Formats: sequence, C-alpha cells, structure tokens
Amino acid sequence: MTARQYAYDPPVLRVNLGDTVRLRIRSLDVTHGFFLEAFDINASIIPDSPYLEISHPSRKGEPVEKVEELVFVADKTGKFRFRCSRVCGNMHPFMQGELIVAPNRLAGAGIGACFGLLAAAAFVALRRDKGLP
Amino acid sequence: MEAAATLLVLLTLIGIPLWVIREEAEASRVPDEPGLHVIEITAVAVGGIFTFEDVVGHNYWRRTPRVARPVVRVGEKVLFRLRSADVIHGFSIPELQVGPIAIEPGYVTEVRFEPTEAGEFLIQCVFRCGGCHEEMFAVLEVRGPNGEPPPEDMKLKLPARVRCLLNRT
Amino acid sequence: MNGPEPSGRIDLLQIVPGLKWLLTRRWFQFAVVLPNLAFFYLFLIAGAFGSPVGSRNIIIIFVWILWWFLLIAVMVPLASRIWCTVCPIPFFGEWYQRRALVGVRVGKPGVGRNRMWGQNRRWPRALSNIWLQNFGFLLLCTFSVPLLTRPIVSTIVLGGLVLLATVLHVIYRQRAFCRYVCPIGGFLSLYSMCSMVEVRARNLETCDECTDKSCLAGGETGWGCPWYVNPSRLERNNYCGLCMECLKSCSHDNMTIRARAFGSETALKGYDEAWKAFIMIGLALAYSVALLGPWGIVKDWANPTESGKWGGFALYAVALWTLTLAIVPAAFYAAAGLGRRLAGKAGVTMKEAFLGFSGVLVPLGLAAWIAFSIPLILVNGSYVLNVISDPLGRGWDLLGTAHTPWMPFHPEYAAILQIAVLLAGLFYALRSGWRFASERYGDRPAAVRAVAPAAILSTAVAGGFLWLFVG
Repeated sequence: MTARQYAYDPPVLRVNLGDTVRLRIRSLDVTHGFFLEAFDINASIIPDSPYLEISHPSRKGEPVEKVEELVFVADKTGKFRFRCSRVCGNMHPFMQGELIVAPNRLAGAGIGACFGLLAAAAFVALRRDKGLP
Repeated sequence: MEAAATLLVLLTLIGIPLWVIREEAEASRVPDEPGLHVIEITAVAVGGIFTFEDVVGHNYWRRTPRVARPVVRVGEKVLFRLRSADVIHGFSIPELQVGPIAIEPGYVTEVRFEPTEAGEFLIQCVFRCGGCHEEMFAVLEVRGPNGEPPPEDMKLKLPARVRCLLNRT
Repeated sequence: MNGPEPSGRIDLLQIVPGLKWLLTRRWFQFAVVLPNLAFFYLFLIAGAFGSPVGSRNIIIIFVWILWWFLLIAVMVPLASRIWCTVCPIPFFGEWYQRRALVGVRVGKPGVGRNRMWGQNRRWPRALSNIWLQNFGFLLLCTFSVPLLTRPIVSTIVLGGLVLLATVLHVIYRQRAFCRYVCPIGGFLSLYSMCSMVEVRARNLETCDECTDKSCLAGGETGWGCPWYVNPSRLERNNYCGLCMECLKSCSHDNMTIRARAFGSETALKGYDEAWKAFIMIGLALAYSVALLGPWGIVKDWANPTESGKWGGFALYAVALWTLTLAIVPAAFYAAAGLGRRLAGKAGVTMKEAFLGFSGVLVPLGLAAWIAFSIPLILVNGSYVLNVISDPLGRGWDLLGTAHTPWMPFHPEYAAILQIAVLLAGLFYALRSGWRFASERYGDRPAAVRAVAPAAILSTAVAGGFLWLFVG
C-alpha cells in the first residue's frame, strides 16, 4: 500500500472475517499516519524508511515498535476506516481509506431495515380499518 | 443599560486583540537567562524554506518568505524556537550535532546548543516535507567570540537550487 | 386565514419556570449574542494571524467541526433557527439600524412605528425567495475544501459575510441579509420545518381582534419583526429567526414558544424551497464521497489549488451543479409524476405533486447531514481540546490541553449511529409523503399508489447513503 497526499492506494481493502492482513505501507511524499479504528492500531509512515512505527492507542506509554509489515487479524465484520494520524497537509483530516471485512452484517441489516421500514409503511397504509394517520 | 451594553461591545472589540497580543508575548517569553540568544525560525514546505518571518494565515499563500541566515557567536547560549507552517519538518545541523528533531505544526519546538567553533554550517530538513524537501537548506553562521567573521576555509556554499525558489537565494 | 389550532403542542413559556421572564428581557438577545461576537472575533483573528494549519487553528475546528455538528445535529432538530438568535453576523448592521443594543425606539422615519436608521428600502420582490441562498450556498460548497481546511479562507468568507450583512442592513430594512442572503439561513429555513420548537400566536382570536399589530409594526416595548414575517400569522418555522422581539412587542402578550413533535411541518411552498432540498441532499452525497470517502482522485479534484488538477475540479463542479440542480430534481419530478398518474385522480396539479412529494427530502436530507457529521465530530472532536488552549496554533497553552494527542472517540460506533439516524430520517420522510398523499387523495388506495414512487425513491436514497457510510 502506498500513502500520499491525500489518499491511500488501494483506497479500499476487502478481506474476509478471520483473514490475517499483512500490510506494507510506504509514503510517496511526506510523513503520514495509519490509524485503524476498532483494531487499536496507529502507525507512522515515514518516507524513505522501510519501517512502520506502530503503537496501540489503548496502551499508553508503551514504546513504539518498528516493523516492516503491519500484521493483524480481521476478527470483526463491518466497514472500518483507516485515517492519517500525522499532519500531512491541508486535507489531512479527510485522508482516509476503508477496510471492509466480509460479511458486512451491519450494513446488510441496515439496508434490510430500510426496506423493512418501507414494507411496514406500506402495510400500515393499506390496512382498511385504520383511520388516516 | 444601553450605555453598559455599548461599553461591553467596545471592550470586546478592543480587548480581544489586546488579549491575543498579550498571550502571544507570554508564550514567547523565554527563561530569563543572561546572554541567551533566542532565534525564531519557521519551516515552510512550499519552497523548502527556513525563515525568520512569521508565517501565518494571511501571508502563507500570498508571499514566499526569505531564507533565514542565523548568526551566532562562539560561546553563546543559543535557543532555537522552531515552528512549522504546514507539515512535519525536521531540523538538523549535523556538523554540530544539533538535532535531528521534528518540528510539528501548531507547536513550538525548542532546541538549545552552544557553538564551539566558528564557521558556516548547514541546516537541513530531515523529514520529507514535500517536493522541495531535498533543497530545504539554510546556513548557520558562527562568528568568533568577539564577533569576528568565520575563517575563509570554513565558509559554506549552498548547493544550487534546481527546482524550488529558482529566482531567489 | 387562521387554520385550526394544532394539537400536541406544549406552551413552553407556561411550563418552564423563568423562561418567559428571560425571553422578555430587553437585554436577552444582547446577552446571548455578545459572547458569540467575542468568539467570532477571535476566530477571525486566528484565521488571519494564526497557524495556516487547519487542525491547529480555532477557526477551523470550532466553526467547521464543533459548531457545524451542534448546529445540524442539536440546534436545528431541537430548536429551529435558534442559531439566528445568537448569531453575531448581523450585529453591526442591526446596531446601525436601531442605534440601540437593548432598547427600542419609536418615531419617524423608520419602519412601522419604530425609528430606524439607514435607507430602510424594501427588499426587492424578485429576490424575495431563497434562490440567492440556494446558489450562494452551492457556490460556497463547490469551494468547500479551501474553506474547510485553510484558516485564512474561513476568515475572508466569514468576515465577508459580516461586511455584506452590515452593508445590506444600511440599505435595506431589517434583517434582509438574514432572510434572503445568508447561506446558512438558506438551509436553516428548510430544516427548521422538522424542528421541535415553534414561535406562534397563542390565541388566534386575540390576533383577529388586535388593532395595533405591534408584533409586525413595532411599538414601545419591542421592534417590529425584523424577519419580514407577520408573527400573528406565523404558521411555518422557515423564516422565523427566534429573535424574541414579538414576545416583547405584542401588546396582548399573545406570542409564545411551543414544543412539538419532530417532523411536524412537511409542506414545501415554492420551487425555491424544493430546490434547496435538492441542493442539500446532493451536497450531502458529494461531501460524503469527496470528504469522507476513500477515493483520492475525487479529493484531488476538490482541492485544485494544491493538486493543480483544475480540469478535474471543473468536472467535479459541473457534476455537483448538475446533480443538485438537475438530476435530483428530475428524479423527484419523475416520482411525483408517476405517482400522480398511478393515482389516476384529477385535481392534483403536477406542481402540487412535485412540491408535495419533494417534501420527503426535508427530514431525509437533515438525517443525511447529521449522519455525515457524526464521524466528523467523533474523529476530530479532540482537536477542540487543543485549540481551546492554543487558539492560534502558535505554541500557547492556556488551559494545559494544547498537547492533547489526537484521539478519535470510538469512531467504530459511528456506523450504528448513522444507521439509526438514516432510518429515523426515512421514517419521517415516508410519513411526510404519506401525509401529503392522504390529504390530497382522500381515497386510500389512490393515496398509496400516489406516494409509492416517492416512497421507493426515498428508501433508495436512504439505502444509498447507508451503503456509502457503512457498506
């Protein structure tokens, strides 16, 4: 994966539940970050360095690890975003990508709920014995 | 009541800028050490510049600041107060073992050192900050303890700029 | 003229102790605007003289992250145009017109019974709609990247609005800027239809018998309504700025504030309002894709001054304008037309159907914007701690929080919140469409057929946003 001002390439990672994800990230221009929500991972991507500096936000005070590859297990389903965590320019707050761990049950449930709501509305509207709302 | 309201408005209009100026002065205050030489430098990625100028909202886009040439003396206590106008820069004077230190935008990074030999030394940015990073240099001139200019053989010639700031030194 | 008293409203001035007293003080509005003015002034200074880095400057963080979120997710749904009550932008213009900060003046020349300075011209009839605001907001949002990320741009734009408001209020009477020009006011007017608070006349017979109409013409106790509105006949939230003047000027103490259910008003009253709804939903989509999406190419296009991709920017701008001004309206026009044809009844014109069914976008658009704003505040909210200690990003540390590291607040929970908000929005949208259809088509099966296309379209829109956010 590469990081540049202001996007990651590839922008969307699709994996399955239980997959072990190995990421090598390099920067094409300035220092960027990689903060993956819900997985407690925050990495600094320093240009010209083969290493990523990894820390875990929930464990404060731990020294950073220098690794060549970021490895984690996709143990939750859904859509998670990774964001840049080192100020890299103007659009830094909007620099983000997506990790989609299939099956995305929450999204499926949400879409189902939308259509369920429509169906329920139709059902209520069509019942003859109710007065108009 | 009208008069009180008017007074409050005037106090606000005058008071807020005064408060800002006061807080800035407070924050810029350095320890009361005799002989401390404070040098404020701002790093700018656009053009790859270390500058003495204050780079803020209204001038960042409008003008290119001038490259700084800090001058100190042997034996002086020097405090660099470093700011970044945009991204994370680095600050390093490798020949004098100053830094490398990261300059984060929005904060002031302080570096102290005491020069021991006269000459001209290279200041460089060590965190890749953009297209002009490779040309982001400045010269620190260290004069003798009584202000004598550095010897000829210790003078530095900066590498010619190829990409950035082509019409300025 | 006066419709039947709506039920299900709670008179807040009667049940909240002290509220009536507070809102009828002449100093009330000044007291709430002044702190805002102070902050606004600080923000403008910070934008010009502070760090050029957006996330370290109070103008960006407080305006586009904190205020924006509070406005769209709290103030509008709960309290209508309450922002207008405290807004500092018209402060100087209104001071000029009234030559008073807390008092009231009567006499001539002026407006109604109030002595007012300035030319007091009437706002031009041709512009007495929200079209200026529609295009103004769209223009601002086309350049949203520099606006949201560069402090100096925010200073220039917000400072420019103050200047514009002041100039307009010297020429035109009352709150012409706020009512017809302010880009923020444009969407506040639309979404306040859903709000849970309203200013209305308590007893309509009292208004019928009233001879002085002080709410409109002003008097010794209060200025006439500066919003070009007749408070005694106020039936919609759209153009009432909650300035509380009518509470003070009414000689019969007949104006009050009521609480009501969310989504109470659903009827759009003009193409200008309909297009506002289309523009807002289109912008919600564009922002969700460009700012919250992962696609760098779109971000480059939206950020031409840095990326240099002006060709891409032109494409982005054209796509944005076409989407909001043509494609979304066309979709709703088609849905309305199809519904009208399916219902098969005469008596409902195409315009009525178009406006009626486009009303679903009011709750749905509000929901989409709230859902968009949720991750913004969760992820970037911690910057608030930094900038309250270091507003200008110059290395200050007033409260000790300047070095707070960036800490997103459980952004993984944004998804469930976004789904909940979108579903609520869809519910109110369907309800709005149904209300229109059942009122215009008394025959139930016909009403169902009429609303079906718009209902399906609303569901698709809600589903589309949901997929974009969490899918």
